Amino acid sequence: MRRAQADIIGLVVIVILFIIIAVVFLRLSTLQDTDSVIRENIQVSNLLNAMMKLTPCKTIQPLQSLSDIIDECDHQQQYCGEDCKDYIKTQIESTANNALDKETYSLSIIKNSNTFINVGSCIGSTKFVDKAITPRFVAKLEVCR
Amino acid sequence: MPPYSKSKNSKGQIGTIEMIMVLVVVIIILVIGITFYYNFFLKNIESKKNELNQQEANVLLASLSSMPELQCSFRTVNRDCVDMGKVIAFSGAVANDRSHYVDLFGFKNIKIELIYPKGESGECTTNKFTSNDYLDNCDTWVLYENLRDEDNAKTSTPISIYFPITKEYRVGKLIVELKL
Repeated sequence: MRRAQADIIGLVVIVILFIIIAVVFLRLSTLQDTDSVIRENIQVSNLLNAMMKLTPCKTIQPLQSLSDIIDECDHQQQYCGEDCKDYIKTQIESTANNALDKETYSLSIIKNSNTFINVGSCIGSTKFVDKAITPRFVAKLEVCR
Repeated sequence: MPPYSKSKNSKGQIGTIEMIMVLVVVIIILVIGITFYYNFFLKNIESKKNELNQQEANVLLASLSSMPELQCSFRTVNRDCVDMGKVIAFSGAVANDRSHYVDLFGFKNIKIELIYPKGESGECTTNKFTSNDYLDNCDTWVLYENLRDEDNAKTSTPISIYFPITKEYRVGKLIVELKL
């Protein structure tokens, strides 16, 4: 065997070793992520459900859920002594800030094909998204880390 | 000995030394690789137990809110929320039939924490439940307690919680604590 051939074989062996190590490392690291991704998705879905069901204003009877308030809110309409849009934004912000620890979020509500409300901004790479679809609007919550 | 055979001999020695050096480098890389893999494998086995516990807690988190003992139901139609009236009764049921719930939940602490809108902090007991300012006088409901260590892992999920007396929905957090 010539020297050049022996050198190439040596190089190939080293490259193969590195590839095997990289593949094993990647496989093990991706295995650990799957469970947390599923968990985070459930959390986002639950948070959106809890937000939509929330009955924030106690002064108006019967109590209305945030979903009902979004449904009925039109331009400059008042709700619970505030502009209804501002009121909805405040409730979403307070809920999300209390529920999420280190994550950032963005919630957009689309009504009649137009963006009705946009709250928060998603900063980070990992995204978990869920949508709540009612006959009159679609709420999309994104959570980033 | 002729002069050319000496030079051939030293060339052969250099070749052998080169081969040995290459072998040594390959062996070193192999040893590093095996050590790295072995350490990773050991760590993985250790974390597997925690991971399985965590998975069990996640399954519990997902299934707890749909247990008939806790889930909201309006005229036999189930809804995606936890009935806080049932939660108070549930604590009593756990106390009465503890062995059944120990089989079901094992070594864990399960509680619900009110996160928005929030009142005073503290545990919600039966005394506080009968008080007029209930909902604003406490923020934590202990469903099940079977873990005394303080150094526990926590896993939680937001939930919608319903108070049948005031017909109010709030946002809470279902927390499962488990030993690592």
